Amino acid sequence: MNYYEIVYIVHPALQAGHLDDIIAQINKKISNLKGKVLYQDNWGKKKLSYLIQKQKYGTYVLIQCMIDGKSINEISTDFELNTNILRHLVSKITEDDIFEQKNTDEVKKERPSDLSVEAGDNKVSESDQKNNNHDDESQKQENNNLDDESQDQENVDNDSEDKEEDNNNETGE
Amino acid sequence: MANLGKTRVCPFKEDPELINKINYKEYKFLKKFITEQGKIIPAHVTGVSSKYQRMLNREIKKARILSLLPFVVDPRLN
Repeated sequence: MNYYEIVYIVHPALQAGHLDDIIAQINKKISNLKGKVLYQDNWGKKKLSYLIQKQKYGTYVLIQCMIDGKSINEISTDFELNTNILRHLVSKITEDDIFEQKNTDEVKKERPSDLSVEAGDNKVSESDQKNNNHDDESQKQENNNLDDESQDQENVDNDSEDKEEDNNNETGE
Repeated sequence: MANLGKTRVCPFKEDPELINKINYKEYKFLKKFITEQGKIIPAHVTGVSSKYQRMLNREIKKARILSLLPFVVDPRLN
């Protein structure tokens, strides 16, 4: 079993319901092949850098999964044959690269608060971001990741400080 | 000749945290290492050490496949 990261671009014309169907279909395929989806993220609709199948936009979906290397070919052919998927990229990752899965509700709650915590540069462009919904979502996600990392670091720092204080107290006594 | 009079320092050796950003998902960061036309800027211009230039190349090419970065931008269109 290896860890893989798959990003695929879904046709922009698909409505939210159809999109969920396709994502569910692919996740089912992975689980049928004895794989396990560890993380899933929807980057939302983004502008493509160049036309793919005459489309300017595409919906990006990221999956991180654990699956047998032999089964990856089967999934790849599935992507190729699926006309609703414009493009896909499979890359091998290590266990450390896997993100923690969040519930969709939690993500939605956290996003607005993250925007207010942003650095000064981003604050200025916040009003601009609201206009471009597509770019907005991706930036939010990036900020989410960044903020999470920084928060984790802060927590670690606090913990270490607490421990030091404890040690000092003990020695003092 | 490109380094004439200036000694460039690898940005990834100055700030090791940037190494985590060498990833096709951070395509906005990778944009710093391509020209307006979409070409990858050679290491002797940016000062990136060859180890990280190889990583950059790999990730930029992945981002191009996913249409996150352009293969080529026609300057006549802008």
